[in-house]
Amino acid sequence: MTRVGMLAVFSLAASSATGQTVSRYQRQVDSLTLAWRGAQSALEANLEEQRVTLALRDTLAVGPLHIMVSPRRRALAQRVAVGALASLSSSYGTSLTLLGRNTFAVRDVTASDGDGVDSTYVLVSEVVGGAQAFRQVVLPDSAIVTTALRMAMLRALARSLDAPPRQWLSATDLPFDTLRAPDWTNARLQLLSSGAAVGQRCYNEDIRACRLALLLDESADPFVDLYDAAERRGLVERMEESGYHRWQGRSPTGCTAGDDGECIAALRGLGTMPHPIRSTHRRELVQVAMAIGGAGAMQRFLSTRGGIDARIQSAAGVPTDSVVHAWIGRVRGGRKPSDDMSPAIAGFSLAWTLVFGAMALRSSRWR
Amino acid sequence: MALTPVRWITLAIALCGVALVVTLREGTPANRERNQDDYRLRANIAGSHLSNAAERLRTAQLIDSVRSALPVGTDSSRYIIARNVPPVAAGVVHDLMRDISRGRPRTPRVPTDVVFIVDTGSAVPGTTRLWYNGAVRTDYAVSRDVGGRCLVVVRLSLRYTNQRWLYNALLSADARRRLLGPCGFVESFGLPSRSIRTWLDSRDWDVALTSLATTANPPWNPPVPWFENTFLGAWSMDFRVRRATSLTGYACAAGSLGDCDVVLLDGNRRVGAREARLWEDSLVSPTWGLDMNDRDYLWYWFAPELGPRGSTLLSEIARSLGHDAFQRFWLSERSVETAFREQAGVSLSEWVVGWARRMYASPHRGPGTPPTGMAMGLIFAAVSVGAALARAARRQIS
Repeated sequence: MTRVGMLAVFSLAASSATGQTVSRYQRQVDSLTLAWRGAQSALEANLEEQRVTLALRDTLAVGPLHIMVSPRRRALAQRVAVGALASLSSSYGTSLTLLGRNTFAVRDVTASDGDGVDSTYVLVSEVVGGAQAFRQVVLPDSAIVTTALRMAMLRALARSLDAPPRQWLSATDLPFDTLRAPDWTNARLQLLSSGAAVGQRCYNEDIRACRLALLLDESADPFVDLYDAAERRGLVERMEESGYHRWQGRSPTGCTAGDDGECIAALRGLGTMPHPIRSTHRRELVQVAMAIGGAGAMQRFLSTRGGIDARIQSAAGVPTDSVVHAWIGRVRGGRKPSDDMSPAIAGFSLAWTLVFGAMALRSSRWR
Repeated sequence: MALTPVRWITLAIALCGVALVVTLREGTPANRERNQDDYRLRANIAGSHLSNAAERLRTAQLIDSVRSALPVGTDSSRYIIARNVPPVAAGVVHDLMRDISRGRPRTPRVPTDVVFIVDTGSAVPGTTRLWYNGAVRTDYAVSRDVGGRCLVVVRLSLRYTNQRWLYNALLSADARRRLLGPCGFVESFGLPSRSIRTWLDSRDWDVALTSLATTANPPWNPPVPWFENTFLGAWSMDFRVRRATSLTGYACAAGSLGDCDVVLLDGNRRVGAREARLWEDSLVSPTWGLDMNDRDYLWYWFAPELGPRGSTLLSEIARSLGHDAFQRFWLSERSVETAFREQAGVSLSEWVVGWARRMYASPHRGPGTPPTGMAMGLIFAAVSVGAALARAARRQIS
């Protein structure tokens, strides 16, 4: 096979094309462009009619919130703003005054459904410098609009955090409530299947391992502290499959043959590290601090200056290690028994057997 | 009250009636506020036609332009890197071509040119060119003339040329297998016979998109999407295969030879998602870019007849028959079915059933009961019948 060097050909102007096929497609494109423009103009004229009705706006103030509303959604906006503030005030307390700097919107919007049908919905958004920092289009139902507005508020509050705790949370919003039992079941499964040895050690109630896994402590040598040899080899093999090292010009063949030193060197060369456990666990930790700290917990979390350790301690009112201990306790308590066979299934099976047996015994002889 | 046969039957009919009423009852359809649909539908349809035509125009221009700019042909295959490909990408391309050269013939029967370019094209005014179906697109111009060449145009999306994952994707095993596409076959085995070509044309060359088969294509074993992975249990492999194939394709994979005949040999069939389009008689454009194949959850909503491994069919046939036997099949003027049977000793459908077992972990036909469930059911039934028999044996007939 021959390699023909670099070719300076690709100024793909239509004029360079001479084929009959190209001309035919060019004519098709020209004619379709006209048809498309016509259809687009008709659509825009129709949309403009709708916009005239929808663009009417009013301003509403509820507590610290400033909300731009469509006139016909004013009552709905009032109701949902009161509801959203009430649901957050216990935990977030006076921090909600921070929202006075933000502008939210609750207004009508016409959106196209999947099948090309347009329907009127409610747009909940946060307006920052004329642009929408958050935008959710929902059904005009009080409960749904309240949830969307609360999410917009929690996002705005998350942005009020300094960069380090915001990055630590890896979330665009702050938690609204503590976790329910099924969420802990999920958390347990995720921690146990994290693919990092530190996750398993943490599950076995090694608080130092939990602090490393939750990024509360910084590791001097993360690939050694967080992963074991088999996991390191697995990480390198996955990178090999994607061609990463070949692109880098070096292939750690010794690692795949079992040389852990080479695996460590290859991983250190990455310059970045995959998080050992999911970021959702860090959010769970904050939710445990919320539960322990009770009223005003998130207010203290937001107002405390300093690192994430100090914020969690302040929110919970107990040392961070106690919160970590409580968190891992909840995770371990998330065990869910197998539902392959439950007492209910066994009971129903036996009951049906008895019913059919009894009916068989009542049956006359078929002769 | 004794349950006489008449009462049994009456009871059964009554319960069936209740079941029918419960299961067939339909809810009231919800009224929805409707307006503008005609306007938007018309604009969407016009936009879609325009976008497709513009993409074909671009590809046709590209192939025309490449052909006119290429140096006069030699007897060997070549690869060409356009000047607008960044140096780091060019390095990856050299690596890639060196890798795949091991599986290519020294003396090609139909010389193949592989051309790498960065696609700088913008959208037709008013439409969006999302590249959502891949950042490394390939198109194949498969010559129909003796003495012609096969052309592979590889387009890297300008938007992603500084992204590391793009180059990782280019060096992946999947990209190496798929890069040459149909050209890999004509390069190794020459132009197909009229009979084979008609067969391939009728199915848009969808079974020939993977050509380099020095090693076996791995079985399909995709992850279940996170949004379907609940505590009610992950999807079984059977269910994933059902989702990723057409109904007839699934029946074929599960061992139905008649369904395999329909899927493989019915030239007028257009069922399931299409892996590629044949247009202008000799241009084959795969639906997905090299970086999209076998990735993520594509299978969840894109189901070609023979599933995600359908495009490997011909390369697996070539690998299992061996070079000479496959060449005889490829050049045979007899019908596809006869030509295949002559070389493989089994019918194409029988061979495909074996292939599907390997690729899709032996899917099962029809609804199934797990062995433990069946055993439990039989035990309960046996106990109940035994108890009834024992009781009945002691009954006195009054």
